Amino acid sequence: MSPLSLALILILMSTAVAFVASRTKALSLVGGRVHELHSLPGHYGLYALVWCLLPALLVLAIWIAIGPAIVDGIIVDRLHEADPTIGADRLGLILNDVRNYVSGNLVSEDIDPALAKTGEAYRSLLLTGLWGTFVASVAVALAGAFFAFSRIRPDMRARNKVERVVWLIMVACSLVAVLVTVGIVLSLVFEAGRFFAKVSPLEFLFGLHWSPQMAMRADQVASEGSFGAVPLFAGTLLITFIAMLVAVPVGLLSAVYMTQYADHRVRSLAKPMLEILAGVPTVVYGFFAALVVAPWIRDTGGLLGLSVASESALAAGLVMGVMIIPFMSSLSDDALTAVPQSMRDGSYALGATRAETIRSVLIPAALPGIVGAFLLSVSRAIGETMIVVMAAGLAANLTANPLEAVTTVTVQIATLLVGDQEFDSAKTLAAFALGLVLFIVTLSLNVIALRVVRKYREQYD
Amino acid sequence: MSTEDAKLKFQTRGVHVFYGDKEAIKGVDLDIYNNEVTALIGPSGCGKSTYLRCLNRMNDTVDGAKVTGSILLDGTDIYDRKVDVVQLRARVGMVFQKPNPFPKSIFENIAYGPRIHGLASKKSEYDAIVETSLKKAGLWNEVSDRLDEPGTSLSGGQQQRLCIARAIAVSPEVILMDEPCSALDPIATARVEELIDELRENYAIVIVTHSMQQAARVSQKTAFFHLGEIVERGHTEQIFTNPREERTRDYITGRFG
Repeated sequence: MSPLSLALILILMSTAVAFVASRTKALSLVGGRVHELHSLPGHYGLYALVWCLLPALLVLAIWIAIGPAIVDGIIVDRLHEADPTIGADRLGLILNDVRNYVSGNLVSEDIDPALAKTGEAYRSLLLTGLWGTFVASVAVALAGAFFAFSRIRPDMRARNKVERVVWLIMVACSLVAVLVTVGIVLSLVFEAGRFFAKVSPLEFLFGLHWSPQMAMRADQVASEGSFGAVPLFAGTLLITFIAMLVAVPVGLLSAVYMTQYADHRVRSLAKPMLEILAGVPTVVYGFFAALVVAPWIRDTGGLLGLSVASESALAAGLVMGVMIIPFMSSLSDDALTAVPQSMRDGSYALGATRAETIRSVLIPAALPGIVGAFLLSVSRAIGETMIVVMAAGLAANLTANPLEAVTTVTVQIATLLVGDQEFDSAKTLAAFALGLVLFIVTLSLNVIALRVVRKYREQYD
Repeated sequence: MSTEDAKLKFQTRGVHVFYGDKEAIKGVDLDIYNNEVTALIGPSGCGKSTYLRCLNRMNDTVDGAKVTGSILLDGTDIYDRKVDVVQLRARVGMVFQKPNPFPKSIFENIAYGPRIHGLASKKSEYDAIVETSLKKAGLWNEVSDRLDEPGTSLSGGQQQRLCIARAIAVSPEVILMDEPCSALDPIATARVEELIDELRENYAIVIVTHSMQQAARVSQKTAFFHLGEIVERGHTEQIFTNPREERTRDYITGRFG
């Protein structure tokens, strides 16, 4: 068993003991009269648990995070000492071999005595580190447990301390989300910056021709790529527009029906059905679009004498619209339900019919919420990838004709990054620039949507 | 025909209301007269609001509510299938406990009713309706220069008078008021009570209230509800000074309720 797993088991065992012992101690100090304790007995147990578990886990985490790097560093230093002329590539290769040797994997070269020797040194360093960590973490756990145990008094504010720790854990969890977002934005910004060093932002944002080719050899045909992203933006807008044409009326009217007309039985049946739509993976919508809807549109178009591409913006847009219906409808549903009953009563009492009440009172009152639903739906449509990859095609046509194949920002990002890529060519870096544009657009839509929704919430409180 | 009979607006006999299996009103007989304020008093849950909501069929909007008995408005049963609930509610307006202006401008709040009933066609006609309604509700002087502002920007008392003006705008014959002052401060309440007294000239008014003083101040007739029945009804003065029933006396003197 690895030292680390053993350490973990020991830590958990001592944690359990510390919990029980501290709880018992707290109880016995007051002779079982719980009300004489400042906190509940469990809080004293939790206090010891926190002191025993968290520092020890921290020690383990530190080793896992930086331990192997330290060992690598020591070995690299030794190899350098042995042969000061060794190159960085060669060093990396040897280090890899050493690691493989230690873990018993295949090694790229024959195992010579020197490699074996380095390997053994590596192994012993690693083991020393591991056992060192083992000792340190268990010692920290025990020390923490004893410290907590010895501090337990009936008037100690164990509850407040435990709640403080819980608060810290919650702060850490929310930091994770924030930091990940920041990291994503930074990586997008830096890579996009490298792209814009190769291609001017003006060409990227306003160029009308998209053909992301980069020559492998200087004499290649079509060696010049062009990175005008306008056809992608236009394609994205076209498909989003078609999707909204489907999703907004259907979603809104179904929400109106669900909240105002449907009786309980219909509602309890139809709402879950609608929510199933939201659970369908987009790749399933994608092949539904590519294999059912697109051919059907092509054939129908053929009957009408129209020339329709077999991958069309219309097919992708229609299916994407269907995908967004549950989103639109459940958000509008919330907005309509939030309109107070008194508003409805007021309208009915004046002799308004249900339809008049919905049209003149409910929808205006719920409008900010509905606008919010619309904006969030648009940002989903813009960010949707799978359906358009499968049904809209890859041709970067600059067209407003929904019967032609178009391509979107997301599709191009996917195709640019699929397969083996070199990360210094403008072709690959273009994906990051596109991603940045996408991120900015959907982020601003979401911010606007949330603001609109919030404004509306204040209206009735 | 006596003058009393000529003024008879609502004649209700044997009214029962069921919410599912629960019988909320158990056979209520009550007459409501023109140019009078009829106050419905009684402890919470006694059925007075439920009865009020029968008079313009607002109970129709409640799931599982059933109304039996006869409710005659000018001799016509309002629960008859031939009666259109839209027209009924144009004749019998209602003001609610909490002011509930629509999220529209003050002007549009008043014009809403006339618009759905097609009472006017030109802008000038709507202007006239809005002005007279606001004047009747005693709100004109306060809002005449800001008709475009949202109704929700007014104070609570102003909102309630706006709701009264909104009800008046469709020229009803009866106005139902469900505890119209319970969300208002004493000054706004006094203003609304004054208004109720003025409106009595042209309408039959039925008001549900929890305040004995209010019932005594504004009404001419009073009906005391208890557990879904009317315990006593009669002239307000008689009910408050010389009740015939033990339970009425106990309630108005605050011994239960």
